[in-house]
Amino acid sequence: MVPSSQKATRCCIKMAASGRHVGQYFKRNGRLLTFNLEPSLSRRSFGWTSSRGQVAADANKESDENIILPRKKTWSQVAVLEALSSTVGRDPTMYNYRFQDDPFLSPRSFPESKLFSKAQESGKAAAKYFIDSHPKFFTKDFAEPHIPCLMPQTVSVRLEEVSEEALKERISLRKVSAATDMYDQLLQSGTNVSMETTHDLLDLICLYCDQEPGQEVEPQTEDVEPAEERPRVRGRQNRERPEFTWRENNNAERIFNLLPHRDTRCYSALIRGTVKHKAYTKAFSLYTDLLNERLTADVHIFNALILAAPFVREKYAERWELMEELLTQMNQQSVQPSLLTFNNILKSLRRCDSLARSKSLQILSEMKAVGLVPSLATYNHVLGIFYKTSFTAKKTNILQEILSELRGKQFTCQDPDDVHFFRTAMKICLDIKDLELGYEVQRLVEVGENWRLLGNDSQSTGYYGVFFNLLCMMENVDGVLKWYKHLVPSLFYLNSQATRSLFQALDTDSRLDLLPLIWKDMKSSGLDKFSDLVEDLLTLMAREEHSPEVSGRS
Amino acid sequence: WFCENKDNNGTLSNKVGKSSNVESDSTQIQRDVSVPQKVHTKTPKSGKEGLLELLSSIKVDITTKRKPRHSTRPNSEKPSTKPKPVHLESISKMYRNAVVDASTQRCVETLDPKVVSAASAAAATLPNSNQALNELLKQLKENELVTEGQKRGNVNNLRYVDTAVMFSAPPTLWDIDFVQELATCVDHMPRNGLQEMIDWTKDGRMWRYPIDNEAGLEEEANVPFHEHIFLDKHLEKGFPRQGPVRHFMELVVVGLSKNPFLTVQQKKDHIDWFRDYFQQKKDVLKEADVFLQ
Repeated sequence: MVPSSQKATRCCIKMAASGRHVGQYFKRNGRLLTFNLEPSLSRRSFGWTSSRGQVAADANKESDENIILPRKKTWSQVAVLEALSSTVGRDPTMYNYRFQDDPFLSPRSFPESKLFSKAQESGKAAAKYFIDSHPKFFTKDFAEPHIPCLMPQTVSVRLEEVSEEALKERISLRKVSAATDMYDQLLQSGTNVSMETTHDLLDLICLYCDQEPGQEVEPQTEDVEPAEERPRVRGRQNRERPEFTWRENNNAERIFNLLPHRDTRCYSALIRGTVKHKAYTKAFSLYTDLLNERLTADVHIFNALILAAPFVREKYAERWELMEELLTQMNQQSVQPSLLTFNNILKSLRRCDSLARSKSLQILSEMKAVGLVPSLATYNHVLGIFYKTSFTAKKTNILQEILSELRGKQFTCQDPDDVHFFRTAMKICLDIKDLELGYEVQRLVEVGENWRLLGNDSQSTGYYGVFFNLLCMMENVDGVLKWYKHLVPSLFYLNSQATRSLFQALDTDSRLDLLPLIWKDMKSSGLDKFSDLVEDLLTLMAREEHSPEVSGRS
Repeated sequence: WFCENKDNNGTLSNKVGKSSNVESDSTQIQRDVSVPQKVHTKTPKSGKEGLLELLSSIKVDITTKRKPRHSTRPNSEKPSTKPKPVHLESISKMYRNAVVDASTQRCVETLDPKVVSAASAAAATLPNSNQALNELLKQLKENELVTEGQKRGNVNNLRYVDTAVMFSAPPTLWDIDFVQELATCVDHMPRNGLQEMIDWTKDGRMWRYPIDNEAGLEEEANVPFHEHIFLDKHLEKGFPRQGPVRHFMELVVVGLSKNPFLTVQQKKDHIDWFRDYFQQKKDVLKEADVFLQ
């Protein structure tokens, strides 16, 4: 059947079909037609129909000879759970999932939520601390199969003798001073320490700026304050991650100078450490030493130096010149730039106001030429450059271009500055009072798992606060209320500023009958303590004569 | 046999043009390698294998100078050290080696020079030294890749960081710190109970769905059942063949064979303990006349 139908199509294609061809076509198809009709006509002759069917089946088999067997599907361990969780999503009517335990223990305001989440984490940390420091009480293993993450981990040093193994153990346990002492003892006893271990030791000391890692986390008792908002929030954040400054001639430098033969990795450790701990001039002097010893730097050294460049020069032009010089040297030494390189360039460009705009576009095109995909941090820096003041903000529409390029894309965190992008973008939308762009940004946040890139609690609250302000300013009351129900209190706790803008929105659209609802939420979230908010509310209510049903008088 | 080779040679001389580059490769590789005295093939399994075989037989013809000597002993099966009979597998291996030698040359540069010298020393002891050297280097290169891949995989036990951050060398403290910093930036809290269960499953705290009774017993799955049950072979050494001790040990073995909770190694350890015990108590048993060796 198949060959004859092929011939039929060929005849159809050939325009100059002679009568003979046509006649043959009809002859053949006529035969086929009669063959097709006959089975239905002669239903009684079963044998013949079945053989006909068989021939047809064989012909079908020949045509489908290459049956493609589907490959066996392998599902990941969590496939079932992921499918289920995609049906559940987020519950917008309740507080955040991690607080859903006891209704009494649900946080009603943002400071309370921070306090409660810190309490949860500190509980887990305390449990882990006890298990690790007293492993002899936790020897019996009930679980089948074995759960390694619940077992006590070694935190104390076991090897006591002076040897390289002991040094490696101390390095892996991140004990800075113990490792330095062990290294000094090894040197005094004359043992040769391998380059690998020396590199690791230098990395350790430079990373922690010669302090023990445990000192970075301050005890939380001093930070517990009553649930009131204070303007010291920024100070508190700084205290949570104290930044050490690089001391002159600390252990890292001492060990570094004692080394007979320093290679790129040693320099890399020191330069990265000095830049991380704000000793910028020292970093550059180390770099000149590296160049004098005719070594090639690696990409990490260049990344760190680019970050340090704006701090060692005063004028914008000089800063850019220094960065350009670094980049040409990078090219000469054939070091491949990474995403972090470009992000650091843009970050440093933010400090070179006048030159920034033109150069940043050049940088973006270079990035694409090298083949790197820009991350959210890149776009964040670009936005910071272009929308620096409200004056410059009016002259550009780069946010729109960026958003249209990023539409529907999923992101992962590749740079710690990625988390600032959404807040910056939303702030710009608020400044230029563009609601549509705001909705675009929110749509981007809701794609897949992008909401995870809103950062920690404070950062995501900042984002939603700005978004809510924009809505109250620009959107009509129904939209505002819809988003209000969507965001509060699962993603965003009302604060005084948001409440004020909400009052304004209600006032603009004269929906003051919704005020009792808002008052109920205010009371539950503790905002009724702010007397100025209560006064605003009462002013709105008392300003005009409301209809009896609103005011509750019969 | 040899006339066959010659015939092959003759018929293939026309086709040699195509495969001349393969030949030149093989001639450059100095092999004082084996002559196929007997090419143990009946008919090639597929066209490609036949070609392989023929090409390899060409190679050997060209590289050897022992043609006249071996023609006098076509059926000799005397195993001599140098001219060994070459089988089909080694033939195809030689072919494979001929083709991949360029890549193994490159491999040599990336491997540690000590490793390479050790490999060449080891290979020199074998008769097919160059072939063995190439194989060894290839294997070492594969092993290196495997260990590097394992090292990369072991670093990122942080769940939510994108593991596309590749490290060219074993990850340094800076890399680990960077990855941890990224993990703190991302908000990885679960939004509903099912996401929490996903986190627990990735941690290893929860059973995996669909529930598999044998989760966590993957190593046991590789141990064949007869090693658990037929433990008599461990009684062959160190225990007497008759007497109460043997009887006792047979009962122990029967009990162990029915034990589903111990691993094979643990069962062997039990039997070893008994062996040591009875060896120590040999004097007591001899006094009681029960220890028959």
